Amino acid sequence: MTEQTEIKDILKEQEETVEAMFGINYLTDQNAVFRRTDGGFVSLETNGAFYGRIDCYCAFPHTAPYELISVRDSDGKEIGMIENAEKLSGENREAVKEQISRRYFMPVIKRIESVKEEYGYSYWETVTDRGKCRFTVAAGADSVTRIGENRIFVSDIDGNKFEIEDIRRLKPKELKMIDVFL
Amino acid sequence: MILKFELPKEAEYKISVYIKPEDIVYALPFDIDRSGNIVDNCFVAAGRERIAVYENGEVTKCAELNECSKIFTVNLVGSAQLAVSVGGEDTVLARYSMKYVSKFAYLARGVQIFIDGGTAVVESTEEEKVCPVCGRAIPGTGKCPKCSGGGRMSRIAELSKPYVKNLLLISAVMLAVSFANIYARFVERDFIDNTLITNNDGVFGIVKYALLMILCYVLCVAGEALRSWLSIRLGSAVSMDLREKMYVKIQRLSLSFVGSRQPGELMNKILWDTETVRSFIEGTLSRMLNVFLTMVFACVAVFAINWKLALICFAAAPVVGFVTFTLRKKFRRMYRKQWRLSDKVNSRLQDVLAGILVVKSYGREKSESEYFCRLTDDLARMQSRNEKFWSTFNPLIGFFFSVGTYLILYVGGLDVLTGRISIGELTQVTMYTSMIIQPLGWIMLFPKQVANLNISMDRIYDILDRQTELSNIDTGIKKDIEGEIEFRNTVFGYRSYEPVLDGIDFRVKPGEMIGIVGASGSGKSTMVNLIMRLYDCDDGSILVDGRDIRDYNQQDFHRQIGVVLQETFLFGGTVYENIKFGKPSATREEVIRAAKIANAHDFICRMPGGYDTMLAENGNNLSGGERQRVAIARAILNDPRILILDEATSSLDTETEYQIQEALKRLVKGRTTFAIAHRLSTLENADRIIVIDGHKIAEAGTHSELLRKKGIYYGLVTAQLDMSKKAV
Ligand SMILES: Nc1ncnc2c1ncn2[C@@H]1O[C@H](COP(=O)(O)OP(=O)(O)OP(=O)(O)O)[C@@H](O)[C@H]1O
Ligand SMILES: [Mg+2]
Repeated sequence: MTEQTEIKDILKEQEETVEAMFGINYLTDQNAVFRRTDGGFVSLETNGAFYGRIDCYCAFPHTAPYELISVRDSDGKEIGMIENAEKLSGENREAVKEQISRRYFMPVIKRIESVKEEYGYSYWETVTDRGKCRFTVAAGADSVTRIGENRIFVSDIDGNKFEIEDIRRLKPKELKMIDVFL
Repeated sequence: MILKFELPKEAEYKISVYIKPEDIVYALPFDIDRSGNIVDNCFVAAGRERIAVYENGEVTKCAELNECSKIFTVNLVGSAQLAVSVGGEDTVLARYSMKYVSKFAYLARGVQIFIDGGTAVVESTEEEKVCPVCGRAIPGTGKCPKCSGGGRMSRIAELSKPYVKNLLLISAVMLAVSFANIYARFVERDFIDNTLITNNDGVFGIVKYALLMILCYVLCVAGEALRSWLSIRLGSAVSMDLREKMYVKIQRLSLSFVGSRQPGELMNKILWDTETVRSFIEGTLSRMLNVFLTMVFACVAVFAINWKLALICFAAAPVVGFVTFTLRKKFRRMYRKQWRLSDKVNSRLQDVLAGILVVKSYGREKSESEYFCRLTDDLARMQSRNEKFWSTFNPLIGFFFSVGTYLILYVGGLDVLTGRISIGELTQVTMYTSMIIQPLGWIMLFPKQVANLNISMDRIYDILDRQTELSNIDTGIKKDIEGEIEFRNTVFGYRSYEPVLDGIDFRVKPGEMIGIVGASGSGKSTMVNLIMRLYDCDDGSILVDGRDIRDYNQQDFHRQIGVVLQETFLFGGTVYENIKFGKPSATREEVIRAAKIANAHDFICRMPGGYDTMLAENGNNLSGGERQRVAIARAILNDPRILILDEATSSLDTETEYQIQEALKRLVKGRTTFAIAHRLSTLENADRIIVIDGHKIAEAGTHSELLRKKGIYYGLVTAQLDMSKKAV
């Protein structure tokens, strides 16, 4: 009998240590203060600790950009996670969301003005949500990837990525320009 | 790579308040502003005292370097930032897209030297990606395709040079066929007008024309057969030629090229692109010539016979061509969709079959098969829809083809009645009309096919023209090496802006056994990759026997290295063939000796096929440890001067590992050995152990020296001891 309780105790203790090691430490409005610094970064104060510069990494950048954000210090060590950035309030939310949009830079192509093919590269002129953008894409299927039926990622020769949210929304003229890639 | 861009006058003037133009050492453009928008005309300029940021027409930031403690880049996803640390606070200076990451990495390195009080100016040997003259992207060849002249035409000319005779022959045959085709219609006309209608020559005439027509027909068929035979031969020859060239080239390209692509993709590239070239030559090229010649002849003939009918024919042609072309395009689009779906079904099936173990062990058979059924249902529905569409509209194309002919028949028929042309002539013109109209839809597809050909050619030549990054592959000295290896301030990164090893200084005496330890991802495998010269270092050098590793003939050098890589790779083939891969001349006895040292002999003998056992792809029918032992045997068979063991015994039980260790201990004597291991007990025999941490060699020394030092190694050893104690 005593032996059994002992084993139970050990198991419980182990569970606790595992929880301590691998459990998720959620950062909330109650236990964390995010602030934008003058230098253009974000600082964090949580549970008595202060971090001058933190980074926000999305666990699911393409499918759930504001959920489950891993907050890391400048050495890349995780401090904690944010369940949903939208649910933070005030400055916390602004700071975190800004940090996220800063980390993930993938302009969304709104309009394709021209695609010119030359010597194995195609030169795109587009209007994106971040402004006018010209870039160069290597010919060949691997530069344009299709996610699902209608969503498209385009990578240019430097490794920049662009997104076309829904090719059905492109004009026939634009579709024709990128037809070879599809 | 340019690190000092020409500043526009305006920017130079505004910046000159902080940094005089002649004092600027680095000047780079950046392309993302503070609010994340893409911008133009923004610059970062750095001198020896200050760094200034010019954004939206103003200098927005300026930092005194003597107040900064650090300048660094922060790599984000799809962009990066340059920042400085002033008094413990970090400040972002500029943000830029991936286009400028390497440049800013160099800039940060350069400015850091100034901050640290140095004066050196960093330079980059990396090639520009964009032609400075015309702004076009520069392919792997390192030369701007436009500015250096060699365009597509010259490539095609070069490619077809060996086949000129063949091409001329094909053209000649085609000319003959087209001519025969046209001529046959003249014969027909004469037959109708002179024999049938006027009955001039009687039976003799009929026989004569029949024979003539048969002759023409035979000529056409024979020519056609000859044409397709010749062009198939040409197509296969050209594509085989290309395939061989690419295969040879890929083997010579350094790993940084091959490694950055998946092997399957590369294979596809070879097969798919050469296939496109082949089918173009076989199907399109020769037929194009044929069709084109025939059309020209037919046009001329129609005109010569009756210009009014000719005009009708030409008026009808574009309409018919356009309609058939649109229909065909629609067909193609439909079938492409279907093809993509069936591709998805296939790859899903392959995935599931390959991963059947995983699927079964997670009990997902049911949901997997449901998903699969859904896919095949979709496919079946799409197929039947497409077929219906096809069978409805395909006959329509045929109808459109004949529209022109009907018109001609009508107008020409009236002319026949009024006696302006003969019946024979009308027949002839109708025939020519269909000769002109029928191929139109097909001809309109021609530009598309040429475009596809161009893309494939570009991709092929992207590989063929690529400079081999490793210099001295074939040249270079051949020499039996002693095995002394020295790293001199070696810097290397798979991407230039992210060094994996940064300033390695280390000397290994011949015959020494070096253990390499470090956290996962710290760069251990990278270090041995450099020793094998799979990559060339970015900065500094590696010396072998006191000479730069780049001076050696690569093949000869590799012959003297034995490697067991972290991911053992075995080829399909027998165990025997696999072991003697590095030394094809090895005898059976030698192979067995090597297998014995690797402790593989026993298990190999126990297999029913012995050394003749066929291995599945990548040796999947062996256990992990068995595969490693075969790989070890392969590595030592060559009697190498340098032996590299990257986690070579990680999948073995301690007992077997111990046995191999004992054997290796004897074998390793007198050979320079690099052994990487996470299980530290593996390295007990090492003469020295180096610990890689933070891109550098953090500690080096013998096992006991390092223990006494109580540093990283000490921590690793005690941690492992703790763990094994707990396990016991
Ligand atoms: N072919 C490659 N292309 C790009 N990056 C690579 C490549 N190979 C390795 N890396 C990166 O370089 C770093 C060092 O890798 P390396 O393989 O040398 O680590 P390692 O010390 O051998 O780790 P492990 O103990 O897990 O084998 C890692 O961050 C890895 O992601
Ligand atoms: Mg490794």
